[in-house]
Amino acid sequence: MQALPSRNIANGPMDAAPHMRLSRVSLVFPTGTKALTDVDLVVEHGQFVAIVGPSGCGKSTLLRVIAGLETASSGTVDAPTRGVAFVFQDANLLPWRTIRANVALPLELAGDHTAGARVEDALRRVGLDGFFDQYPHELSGGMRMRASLARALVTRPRVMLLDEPFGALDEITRYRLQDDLLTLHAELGFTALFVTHSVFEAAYLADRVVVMSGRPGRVVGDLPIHLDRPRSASLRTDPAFGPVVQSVTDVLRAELT
Amino acid sequence: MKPAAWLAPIGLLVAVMLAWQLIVTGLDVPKFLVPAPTDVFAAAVQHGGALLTGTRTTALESLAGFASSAVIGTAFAFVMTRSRLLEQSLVPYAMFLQTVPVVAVAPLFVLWFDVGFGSVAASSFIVAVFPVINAAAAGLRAVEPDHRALFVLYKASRWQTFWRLEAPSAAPYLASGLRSASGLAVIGAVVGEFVSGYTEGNAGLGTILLSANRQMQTSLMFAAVLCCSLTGLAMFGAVSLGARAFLGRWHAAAR
Repeated sequence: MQALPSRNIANGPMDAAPHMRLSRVSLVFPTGTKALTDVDLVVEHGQFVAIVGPSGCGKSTLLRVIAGLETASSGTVDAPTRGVAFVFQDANLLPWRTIRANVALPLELAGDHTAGARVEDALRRVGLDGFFDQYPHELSGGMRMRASLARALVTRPRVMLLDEPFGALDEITRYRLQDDLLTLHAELGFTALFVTHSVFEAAYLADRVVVMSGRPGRVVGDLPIHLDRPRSASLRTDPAFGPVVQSVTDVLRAELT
Repeated sequence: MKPAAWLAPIGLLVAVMLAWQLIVTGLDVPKFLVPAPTDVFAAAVQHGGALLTGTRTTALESLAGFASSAVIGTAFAFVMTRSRLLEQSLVPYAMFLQTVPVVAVAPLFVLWFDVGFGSVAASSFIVAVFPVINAAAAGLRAVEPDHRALFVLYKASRWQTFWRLEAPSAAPYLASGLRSASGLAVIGAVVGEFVSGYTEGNAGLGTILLSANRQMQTSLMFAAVLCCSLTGLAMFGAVSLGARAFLGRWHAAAR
């Protein structure tokens, strides 16, 4: 169902057409489990969309459908097939490669072996200067996730699909990475789809929060987040922030009860 | 390693040797039943030349068996894991072959490869190849699903996926399979020699064991057994070191 290779890439972000459009997407696994039911989703160029929902609601599956890692059982998925990067729940680095070689992998697979400078640039962007030749197990969880972000960014993607990337990190590291992700988004202008189970994280990062129901996953809410950008750490304690989080929580709670 | 790691086993060895010597001489146990350590040592010195040649012969046969099992076993595992159908067709036969005792097929190898090096190496190969197949196949199947997803996402070709993902994922498994195979190769070679070893000149350790047994030279048997063990240990050590050097820094944390 990976319909029409998107023409949006060629036309660039100035095009009025949305960056991706999902219509009535459903997915039933071979085991009979219904993962997604009639999901509609439209994402504009450069938008930062967070997807929240109870665990097991299919929000990760939705991301994998958009990435082409799963095929929808019905409905249409109109999403770019090139220039898409995926950031996994754990850093998902190859343990036998150094950080530099891990980040170089996407370029290598594309047949580009002369990309040393781009690799180092990506690593500097995520603050991993000086750790180029370490192995993943020699780094902390937060640094591994930074390397994972660098690997995603090295191909200069137009779409970043992030599947609960900061879920396993301690709170301070998570805050730091959230702020860095916002900076990267502002600088590079990619479209971001960010799956998380944290309403707080969703509201802090996103332009829009999509709320999904429990299995089978449906979209039950789509809330714009009217908070100014650039956002910074002080927003977390800003009086304006609480009500925004509350409004998302209300939708989620209504769904859960 | 801490000194204790070295000293403890050496201390134990010395104690056991002493106890062995004292019990055997004290109880006047006949030499042909259980020789004292000093008798074994004397036999080893007396037959030093034959034992050295025997060790060399057996080591070379084991090496040939090990090397062929490493190459053929890995290739077999590779083919086996290419498709579900291939795997389902091949596994029963691999298991069937594994249950055939090497002593039973060794006479066949004599027919095919003649007495001596070839047939003994074949026995060694047969014993050593299954751990390699099992380990390599397990390794090739053990690729992390998310690692594979990454390669799908970046549209990697079959070969890119094999060399950059499947082979490195399988490497630690293969290394442990090769370690088991290295010891087994020596066992296979010695058993092969019982049936079809060189009879003169380059007689291997298995042949020496057999003839010493016929002549009730129990001390020489003990010495030959010791040489077998040392050969196996040397192979095991060399393979372990090689694997460690190859797997490098990520090895410790990878699994």
